[in-house]
Amino acid sequence: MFRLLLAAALAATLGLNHVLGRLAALPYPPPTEMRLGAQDAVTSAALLSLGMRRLGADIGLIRLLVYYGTPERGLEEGHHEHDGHGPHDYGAGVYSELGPRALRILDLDPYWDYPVLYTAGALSFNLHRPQEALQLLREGLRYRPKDPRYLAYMAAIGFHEDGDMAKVVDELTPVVGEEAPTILKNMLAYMNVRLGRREEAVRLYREMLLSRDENYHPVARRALKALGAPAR
Amino acid sequence: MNALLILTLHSWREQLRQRFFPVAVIFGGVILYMSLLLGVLAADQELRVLLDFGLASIELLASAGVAFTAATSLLQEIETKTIYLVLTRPVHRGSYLVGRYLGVLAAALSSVLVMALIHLSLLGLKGWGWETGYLLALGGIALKLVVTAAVATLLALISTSVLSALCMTGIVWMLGHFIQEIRFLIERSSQGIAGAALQLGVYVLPNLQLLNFRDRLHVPPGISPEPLGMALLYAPLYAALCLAFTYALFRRKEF
Repeated sequence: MFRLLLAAALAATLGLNHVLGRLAALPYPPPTEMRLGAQDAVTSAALLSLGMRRLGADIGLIRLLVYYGTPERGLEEGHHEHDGHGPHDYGAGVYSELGPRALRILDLDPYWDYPVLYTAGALSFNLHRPQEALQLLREGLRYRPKDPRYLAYMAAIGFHEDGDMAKVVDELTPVVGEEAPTILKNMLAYMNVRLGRREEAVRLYREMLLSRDENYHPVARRALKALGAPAR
Repeated sequence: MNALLILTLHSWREQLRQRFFPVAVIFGGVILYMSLLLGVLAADQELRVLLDFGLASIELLASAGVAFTAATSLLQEIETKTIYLVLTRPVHRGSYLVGRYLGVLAAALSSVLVMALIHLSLLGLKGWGWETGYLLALGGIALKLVVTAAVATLLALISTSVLSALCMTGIVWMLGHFIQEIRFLIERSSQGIAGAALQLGVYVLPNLQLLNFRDRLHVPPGISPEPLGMALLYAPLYAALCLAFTYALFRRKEF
């Protein structure tokens, strides 16, 4: 009787394993579609084997932030390669790995919009590589089709290329909410200043003061002071 | 039934005191340290990283604890002959096995609860708003522990050495997260003996990715069905099968 029960349980479990493997697949890219980088391949593979895909993406973002937050060799002082979000702002340089790193994060967690928005903003408005930014946004749209923020970013990049700053601001303002990357708020606030939209700029700089990214707090304070607005 | 309850409670108290309490304390220390570090490194995404890191640590510490405890407790009792004290009384071998298993599991789940409370307190202090996905993630961790404890118990009896039992449990645990990838390999390239071995692995290994609700957090609704019902059915069934095999080996074992 025991053997019979054992055989029945075994058959049920094997059958369930067979069915579940097909039905309950995680909604993530297959391994052949995943891009690998020399810096993070081992970490990513190790975390995937532990079932920690999201944590792999988190670590990828931290590495990306550190990478973009560290001045590139030879550009520590007196850089002039971006359109000037203030001399104290980081982000100038080439950062050739910025786009590929973001794509690798997207492979690990394609539903996470923050790395896409952060990197697309930096690539298009800071580093003047709109094609890379658009490629990243298109990749993001594969998993989040019709995401309004991605679409607005694409439109804004197009207007930015045409030099139409007012339209860039109009596209981005509705989608840059509280959760948006602070780097984007900084750019948007700066464009608002250039367009003479003081109130909107002040609102954004005040929001930046409340953000978790403390790198931007001094930038916001200085900008508010220059605009003659109190911090609150 | 009475013997089963007594064995479960005894095992739970023993394991909680000896192993899982230190695990929870270590978790508290690590998570506090990491929260300070992540606040600086992750900038805007501090909460997400803290959430993921905390859940991953809870699972890793509890899984390591449960694998070690399940693998050692039975073998140690056999080696030190303590098992005679129990089995010479009117206690069925099945009750002994299940009691031990449930005790270890209860201790592991208690430590998960303590760790989750520490984690939630920290998230709350950082301004995190409640998400029901957190409970689902914790449930997934609990179901993985149900499977891991049963697998470790079975492998401990098969291998008769703590170290090899632990290694095998670790390998099974990792491969259990790779079922999707193994399937992919089979479809793409593997034929012959290698293909057959991989195919067997897909059937026999526990599908831990099915229970991995941590990695489904924030996936937009409608992308893929939440396999909660299937997971609730699958984990106890798989554990029961492992325990049945363990019992089949254990009842023939000569001490």
